[in-house]
Amino acid sequence: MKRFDENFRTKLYDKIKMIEDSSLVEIVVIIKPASGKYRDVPVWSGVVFAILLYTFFMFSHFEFDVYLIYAFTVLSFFFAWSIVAATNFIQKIFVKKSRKQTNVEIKARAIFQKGGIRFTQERIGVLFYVSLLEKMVFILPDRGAEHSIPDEEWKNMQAEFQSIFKADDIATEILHKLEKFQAVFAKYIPPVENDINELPDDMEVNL
Amino acid sequence: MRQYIFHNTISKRKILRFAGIFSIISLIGLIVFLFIPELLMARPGGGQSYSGGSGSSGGDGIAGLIIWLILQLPPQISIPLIIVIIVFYYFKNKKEKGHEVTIASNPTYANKFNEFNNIEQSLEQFKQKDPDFSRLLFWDFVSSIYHKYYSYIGKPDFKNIKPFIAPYIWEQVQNNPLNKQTDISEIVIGNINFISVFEDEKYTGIVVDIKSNYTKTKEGKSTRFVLTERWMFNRKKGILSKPPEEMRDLKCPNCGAPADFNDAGECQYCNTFITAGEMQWSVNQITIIKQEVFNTKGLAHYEQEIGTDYPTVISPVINTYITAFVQKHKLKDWDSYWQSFTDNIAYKYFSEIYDAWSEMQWQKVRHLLSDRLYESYNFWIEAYKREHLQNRLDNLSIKKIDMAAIETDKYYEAFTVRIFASCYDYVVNREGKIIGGSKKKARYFSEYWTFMRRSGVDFKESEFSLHNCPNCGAPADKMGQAAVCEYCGAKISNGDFSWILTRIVQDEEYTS
Repeated sequence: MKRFDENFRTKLYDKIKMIEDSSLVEIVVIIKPASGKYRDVPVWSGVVFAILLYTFFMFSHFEFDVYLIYAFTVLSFFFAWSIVAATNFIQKIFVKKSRKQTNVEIKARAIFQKGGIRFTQERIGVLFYVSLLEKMVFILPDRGAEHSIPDEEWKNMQAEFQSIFKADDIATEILHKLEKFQAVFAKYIPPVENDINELPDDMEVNL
Repeated sequence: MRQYIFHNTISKRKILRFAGIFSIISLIGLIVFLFIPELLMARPGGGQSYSGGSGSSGGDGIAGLIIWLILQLPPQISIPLIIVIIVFYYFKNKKEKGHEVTIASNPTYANKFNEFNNIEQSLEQFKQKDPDFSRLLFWDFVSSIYHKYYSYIGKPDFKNIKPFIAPYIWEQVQNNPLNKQTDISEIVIGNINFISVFEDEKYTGIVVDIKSNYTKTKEGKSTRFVLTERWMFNRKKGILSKPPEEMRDLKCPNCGAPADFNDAGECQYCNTFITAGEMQWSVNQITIIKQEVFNTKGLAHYEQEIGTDYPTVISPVINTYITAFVQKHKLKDWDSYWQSFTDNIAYKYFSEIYDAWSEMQWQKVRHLLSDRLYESYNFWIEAYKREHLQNRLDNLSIKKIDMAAIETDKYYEAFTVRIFASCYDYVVNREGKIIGGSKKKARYFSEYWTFMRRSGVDFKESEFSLHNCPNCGAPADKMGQAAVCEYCGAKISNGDFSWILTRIVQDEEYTS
């Protein structure tokens, strides 16, 4: 998460302000390290590793003290568990795409709800949710925004935003994509006279 | 010593090496596992809650316990025990820290600072066009209309604010049958922040955020709400602001009589039909941006102090105002005046007001506070009292005071200073037990305090006494809730005689 430093957050806020100045839309961007816990993956990794080691102890032509077998089997479970729990890469491999998608969607919808993004008069709040472990994004528009912009544009935006993970610098890419979306919002949800920002600046989004 | 049986010496060496490497890796695994929570959740979302005033991280204790277990117990007992402890610690830690790092598109300090500068400059430009505009009086006007709007909802008196709200809002409120069954009372305004100032072809507009709380009663059941609302005010372009007496309370903008209108917006004194925004500010939009049910559990909850290390937000036009202030008061130099102000006003007010808060004797400083500030903090003191709690602030020590803003207008002068201080900040219950904060660890913090007084009030700050009425000099012990001196009958809390504290803003929230 180091790449999303203070400088990035300052630019992100400015970028959103720029979009909101040219459109009635209310944008919220949330970036989370992960959307799910996937605790079972390290557990299963530990179990498999422990069984493998235990099998080695049992069928090896070497002889081992019983305490050694016991201790190393238990330790191996723990060893594999801790390594997998600390390594996102392995979790990413072992978790099904559909499960990751579900978790990302659930988290995005929960943030949308808890962050109060639905509390705009014209229902024009839009959440851009980025989940890093799953390498997935989820754009969640409120009813008003969803009706104002054609479905095709939403799909394009989703695909376009998803491509941030192909870039080396995700942080900069997020800003680029938002800049690109400005025209879409300005076109379909134009600003109205004396528009005021209806969402709080300091949104609480921890669940 | 335990004996291990091996088939031959070469294999024995290999096995020993394997066992050694495995043990080292396992140990590294253990350490990594122990610190996983710290690695993943270095910023747990901004807050800690304190209980009992003590706190120690479990890391060192766990490590010590593990070493002790390894040294003292045979491995067949120690290893499973260690695993159980680590797993327990892991989940406990995870549960306590709870939140993961989240990046949200909330404004950073830099964003807030830029916005602050923009708002200040917009207000300055606006004041060029309307030299009668006073920020302090505008706050009073906003407070007044906010109070009346909510207290009149669903009642016949609501017609009296018709000239001050947009017709569509009036219609919405009048046509909502639920409003007739609801009573809103005990309205307390915390802070009012300027969000933007704008002009279009016909109107000038000001958007403010109002932090407030009120009690809503429906069918005999009451609920207290804490809210942040964004209100947009506008008025016809080119007209000038009204004098204090017409801003502090709602009056007919045509004849100045107390607001008494019929459903059509006709003043019952001068028979003039007043259209919203034609002669006075009117509410054009109301948006509730945050609403929570008030919960007394929060009274003993302490968030991690943030913003103390932020640089002081200094008004972009401060030098212009300092020069104007020096000339207006014919001061020899600014520095000695500033020194006198900090020594005799800022330091003394801060200590006195904090003492009154700590002792829960808010009435003691009634003459030092504006009406809004008194009401707002009195609400919290009453909330503590109801829960039989007391927020103690011991060993208060002021570290330094920075100048943040000066503003003078036709009617008022205001100084905003940033006060850096520390104290032992904790909450005790009826039995004297600490249930929040710490009596051992000093809390460092800073706050922006705004003092104001009526323009033209000129006296030496060094001659000011905190304990006397600034008008008649009698003891300030009979001020009542309204801050009217019983000896001379003067209302003190308008700043007509001396400096009054009108606003307290936390450093991380200070924007204007």
